[in-house]
Amino acid sequence: MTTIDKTAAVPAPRDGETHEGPLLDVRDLHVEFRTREGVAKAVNGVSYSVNAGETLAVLGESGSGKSVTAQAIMGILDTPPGFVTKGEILFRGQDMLKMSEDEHRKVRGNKIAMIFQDALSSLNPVLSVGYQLGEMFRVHQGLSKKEAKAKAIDLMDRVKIPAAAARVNDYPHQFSGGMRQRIMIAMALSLEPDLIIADEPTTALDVTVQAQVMDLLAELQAEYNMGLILITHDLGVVADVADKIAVMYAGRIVEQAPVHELYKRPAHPYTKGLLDSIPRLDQKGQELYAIKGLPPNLLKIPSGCAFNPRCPRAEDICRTDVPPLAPVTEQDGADLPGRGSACHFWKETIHG
Amino acid sequence: MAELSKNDKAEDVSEAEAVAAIEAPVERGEPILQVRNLQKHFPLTQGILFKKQVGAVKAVDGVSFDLFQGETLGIVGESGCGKSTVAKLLMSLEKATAGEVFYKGQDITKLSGRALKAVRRNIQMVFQDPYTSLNPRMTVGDIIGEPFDIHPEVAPKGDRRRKVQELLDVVGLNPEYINRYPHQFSGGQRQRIGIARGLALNPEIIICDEPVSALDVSVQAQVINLMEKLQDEFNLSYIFIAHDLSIVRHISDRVGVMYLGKMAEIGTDEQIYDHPTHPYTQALLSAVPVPDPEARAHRERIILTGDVPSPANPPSGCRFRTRCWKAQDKCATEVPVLAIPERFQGQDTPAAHESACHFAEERTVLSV
Amino acid sequence: MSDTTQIAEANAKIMDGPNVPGPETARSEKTRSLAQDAFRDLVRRPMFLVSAVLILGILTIAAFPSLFTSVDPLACDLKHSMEGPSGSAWFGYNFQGCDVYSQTIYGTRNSVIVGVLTTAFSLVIGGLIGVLGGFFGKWTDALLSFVTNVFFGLPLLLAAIVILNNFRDEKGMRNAGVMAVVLTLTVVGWMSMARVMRGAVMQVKQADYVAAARSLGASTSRMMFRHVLPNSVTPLIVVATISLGAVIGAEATLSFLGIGIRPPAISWGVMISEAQQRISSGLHPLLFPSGMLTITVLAFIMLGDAVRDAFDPKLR
Repeated sequence: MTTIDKTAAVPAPRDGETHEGPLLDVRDLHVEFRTREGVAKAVNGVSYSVNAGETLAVLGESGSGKSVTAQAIMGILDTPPGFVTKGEILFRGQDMLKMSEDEHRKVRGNKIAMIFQDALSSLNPVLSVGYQLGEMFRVHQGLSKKEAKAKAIDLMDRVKIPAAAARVNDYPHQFSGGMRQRIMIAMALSLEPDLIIADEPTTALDVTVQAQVMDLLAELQAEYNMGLILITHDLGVVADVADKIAVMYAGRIVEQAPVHELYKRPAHPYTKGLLDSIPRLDQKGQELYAIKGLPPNLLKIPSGCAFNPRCPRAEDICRTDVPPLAPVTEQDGADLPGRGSACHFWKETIHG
Repeated sequence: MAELSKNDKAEDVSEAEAVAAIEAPVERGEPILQVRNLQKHFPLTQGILFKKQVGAVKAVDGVSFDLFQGETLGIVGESGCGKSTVAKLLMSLEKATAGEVFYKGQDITKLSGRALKAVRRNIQMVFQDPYTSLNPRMTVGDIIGEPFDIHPEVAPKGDRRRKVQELLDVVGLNPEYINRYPHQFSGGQRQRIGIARGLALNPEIIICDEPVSALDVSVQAQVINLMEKLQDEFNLSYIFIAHDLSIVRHISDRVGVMYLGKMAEIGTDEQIYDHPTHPYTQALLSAVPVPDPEARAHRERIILTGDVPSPANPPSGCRFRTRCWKAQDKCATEVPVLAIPERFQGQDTPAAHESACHFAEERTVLSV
Repeated sequence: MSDTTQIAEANAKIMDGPNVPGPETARSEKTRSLAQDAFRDLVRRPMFLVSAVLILGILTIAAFPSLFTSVDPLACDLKHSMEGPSGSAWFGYNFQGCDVYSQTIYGTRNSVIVGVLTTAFSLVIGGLIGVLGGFFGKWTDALLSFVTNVFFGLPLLLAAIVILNNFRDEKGMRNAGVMAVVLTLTVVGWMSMARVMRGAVMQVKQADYVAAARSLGASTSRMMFRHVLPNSVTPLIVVATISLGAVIGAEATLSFLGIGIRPPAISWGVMISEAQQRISSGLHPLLFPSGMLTITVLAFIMLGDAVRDAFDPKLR
């Protein structure tokens, strides 16, 4: 699997530059998986947007729907069993779900790129790294072998792989995990996309290497003024690089906020619980706060607020009414831009 | 692998002595496990039928530490540092190339037969991956009851079902789940089953190899809390191996930092986290993502260059020198020993703890 | 374990309420083992049902041929030679004037016996060698793999011919009985079973639950029979089911070449062999036994496929 599709012959001109508004706008997306055991509602009305040069972190545990949303955006959802049942995915104002397969592929190949968690299985083991990087240029831009290789070395330099010229003919298994992830990033960058979706890009890496890779991503993003969607389960990783965070639970966004705000004053009991349940390096507490219970079963999502069986604040209304993602304000009603919480009791959670 | 009891009389006597020593209790705070210069080299071979050794991966290369009764010793390090191999060596799942592991004075690397079985009753393990550590074809009751089948002296036959249900209860699972199969449980629940199995024989030491790293964040805290509770209740000593420094700090009394098969630094959690003297520890701590952008802004960040070298061909002298900003000629020629650095010797400072660096100095990385 | 209840209560407060259904528990409240799951999956597959019905039919024919025909397969009358299918003889008569339908029915038994026994023997021999090699590794594995490879090196047909040529009946004629064919096909056919088993065992041996059993002090036999074997036997069963069909085909081939089961014993291979000699006089004596052979082989291969899919959906 490569991140970038190789069918589009020529990179389409950046015609969307005139478009006003966000680069990517996901509206009320619903995805379900029809399995033998029943219908698993993986995504239940997700809306988020990313601007050029902005980083959106999508945070959630396994089964929260964070990766499925990304797959729907990339058009790489396994169908069947997965189906987009409702919603719009607007890229520069155009709905990708309504595009023809061909148009969709062009957008996907040239404008949106994806980085996966497992770099080793995303690279072809029998082709040299230089060949795989150069492939984009040979196929899409018709460069000669030599030119393509020069471009590949250039890309490897850009993602700071030491001695790029000497290693361009090496095979993926000859690189360490961190270096392979850099190669993946180089590949995603090769056609200078407008948006990068990174699905747990550093989860498989060691902490010292994680920091290197995240820094590299942030640097390149600023350089190319790209939008970045960072999908992760790690509250620590996103704190550093994200501009805004969307927290997902059972296929819905339960809280949305600028990054500093979220950590300082969470407005949803789930976010608050998550923050409290991770041990802190700089303080040694007695007992960890633990969210009780288990993540929900997507075949049988609890009625009302999906978090209600695990929530310390749950009351009767939580079991019957699904809370909408409502804007969060200061105690005096002053606006808190970019903040929202899908909790009946967000006021009590943030201010109480 | 086969544990046949030997007929040799002399050995029977020494074995009986060993068993007696193993069954004697240890006072709280006394060393219960002493690891000395432990080594494990995996040979690299060529050829199929007639193998020729062409080198060795030095996964563990001279590690020494003590585990005291009732404490939690955390061992941290990046992948490939040898921490999981240490766990396997302590469990006698791998045979040590050299070195000793003294459990109550008995070198368990040399034990076999009845004495080894007695040791195994007392040292148990919790595995990283709850999906592969439970036999998918056995019911939960059979899995947790298996220790009693192997050591029938612990629980009489008629008593076992009740014991298993008790254990399920202790780890916070419904005792009625006894007839279910592992695939009917979530990751966190499976890890509880693994813990229950480890507890069944009433062991003294539990070695935990990344016990929560495969779990969801919200479930990690549940399991960590459970493990802390069980430690108090059953008077357990833990060796807690993990790559997550925050969790290790939370649960550990003392912490050892490993790099490429060697112990770089070891001390109490305060000494290691607030007063690290080894550059690797400092870099590791500074790289840990902190879920707080405010605290993060005040923090000094040391970003290491490059990757961990291959343990098949480690650097000469100090193994960290290829990534170290302090490295000098001495580091390439002399292997630094794990000891209290000279400059701190005899001083009453938290920096005076064992650190394997020629140029050890204190540097506060975490904002306090 | 004195105060276990107290702890459990404390746990329940902060942790999993045991009654909160997990993602997997909620699917069904009943206890189901992996094998039961696989079976439920199996009975919903049309391919399995079709092949199972066919195989049941074939086994019944093999066991009770007299239920399906009252004609003696060896009561041949030359006056009927090469008569085509008719109301009294559905499949017609062969050159010797024997009833083809009756012979096809009675031939089933030998073909099925060869298939089942050969597969069973190969399963035991190959399985055993595979388990020993895979589990103990080192020189045991080196030796057993070497032996396996030597047998793999034998050209199947040549080896079978060489071995079967040495079986003679009382009159000194070249004539191998059913058991001789079974043994020969076992000798040349057990190796793939050993390979499959060895691979599966080596993989399962790495699993943490085996390490867990070892660290509890489990004996070698416990690890082997309780942990490794139950988890590595599935691929072997799948291979066995598929190869059963192939063995029946191989038996027919040997009979056809005149070195397997020989007349007057009846098997499909014998019938095909006889019929092809007179192919110019009529196709029907060839067509019907060949058809049965094809259906049987296909049925077992389909069954094998269905079993594999049910036990290991990832292999699909």
